[in-house]
Amino acid sequence: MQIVVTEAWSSDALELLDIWQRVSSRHVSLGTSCACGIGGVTLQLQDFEQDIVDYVIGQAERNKRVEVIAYLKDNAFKPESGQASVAMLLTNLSRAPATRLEEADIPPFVLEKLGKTLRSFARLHG
Amino acid sequence: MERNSAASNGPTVPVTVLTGFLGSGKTTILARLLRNPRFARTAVIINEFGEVGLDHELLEQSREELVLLSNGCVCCTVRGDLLATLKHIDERRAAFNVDRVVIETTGLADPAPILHSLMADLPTVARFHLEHVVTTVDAFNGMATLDVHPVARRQVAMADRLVLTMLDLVSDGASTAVRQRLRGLNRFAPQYVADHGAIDPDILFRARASSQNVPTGDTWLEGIEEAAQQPSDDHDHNHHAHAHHDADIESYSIVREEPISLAKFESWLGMITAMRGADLLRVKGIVNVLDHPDRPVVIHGVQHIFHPPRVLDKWPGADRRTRLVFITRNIARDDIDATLQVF
Repeated sequence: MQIVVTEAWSSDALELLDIWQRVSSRHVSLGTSCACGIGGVTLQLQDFEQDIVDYVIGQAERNKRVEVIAYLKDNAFKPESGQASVAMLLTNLSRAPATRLEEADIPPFVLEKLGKTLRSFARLHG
Repeated sequence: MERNSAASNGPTVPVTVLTGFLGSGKTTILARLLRNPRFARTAVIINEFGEVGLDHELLEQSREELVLLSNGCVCCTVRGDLLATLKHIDERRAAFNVDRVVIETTGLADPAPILHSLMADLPTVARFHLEHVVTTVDAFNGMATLDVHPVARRQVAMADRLVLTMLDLVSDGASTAVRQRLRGLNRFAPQYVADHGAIDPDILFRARASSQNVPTGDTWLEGIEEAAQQPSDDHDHNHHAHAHHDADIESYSIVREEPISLAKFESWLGMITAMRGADLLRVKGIVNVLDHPDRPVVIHGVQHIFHPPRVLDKWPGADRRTRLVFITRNIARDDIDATLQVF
């Protein structure tokens, strides 16, 4: 029998990953059937993925959390393209080994900032 | 978010939208105002519900520029009729000598489609500007009306100014209860009283005196000063006897100390509007943008329609913070705040 020990933050990270996967690719568009006539603009939360990651990095900078900044730079950008990836960040967080992160108190910081944002977007999405 | 980019050539004609539930005293107020010589150059447009309009008959004064829209309150019908009427007024503006337009809505109408028309139609935006939304509330029947008719709550929520009528018929306690309830629905709209239709015209048609010298024509900024004076987490939740009816509508403010990228702010606004435009009953604000921090941007929207943002030549006062006022339906302040922080 294999015993898997999950860290306290793993379930939070996976919950946020689920939220992100549900809402990020959903298209939202202005009402094309509206009598006011103008429509056709379509947006996705995914379009603002870079902004969301930048926001978390900005929060880390504001709080002078150099270890968090370093972690985000290593784990929130696709190596091949350099594009920000919320999904990659959350996946890495959910799988991260405890020792180093725990010492640095990185997961609570990232999950708190990201969680508030993603949950708010999810509620606005409805 | 829909915006247009119409440029205005010269001063535009102010338009006041007078709304309020059936029997709340709109026509009585209007009839009194129109007897005032100062309003001799006011064009009045009446949007009535039903095939036979009566309110125009009740406006005793015979006015050539009085126009009745009698095709009810269906958004597209009103829009076409209203825009055609405004165009007609504009074409004959010199002959009519019009310096102001008042649109009296049907008591059953959600004012939003009318406001959309005033914000979204390019030729109209170039000639007219929405000055105020004034909502009348009958103090005698108002509480019951607000309980039963969601549209009455929306009329209050969308107001820039609220006018209480029939206060002489209610006790002080009832008057206080109505006032508190209106404040719960729309904390930013000042409340005035009309006594048998009599009210100081300046209350309805002039910008309020401002300690910060708000430039003429920027009446949208009303409420913004209050927003700055209130703690950002101080917002009403209608904790009173009528909370169960009014809990869906909230008014609150967001204040930002740091300048915001205009492009990012527009992205956020576009996203929020696309997701929840129908529930953004009113959004007004002054934004300190990184791109030109000495020239703030004024925004004003009703649901998914936003007036073209206006860049002011200078700040209207010493406070240079971004201040946004929201009146929303089922949108929590925290969600607006948390998502704006990203941009």
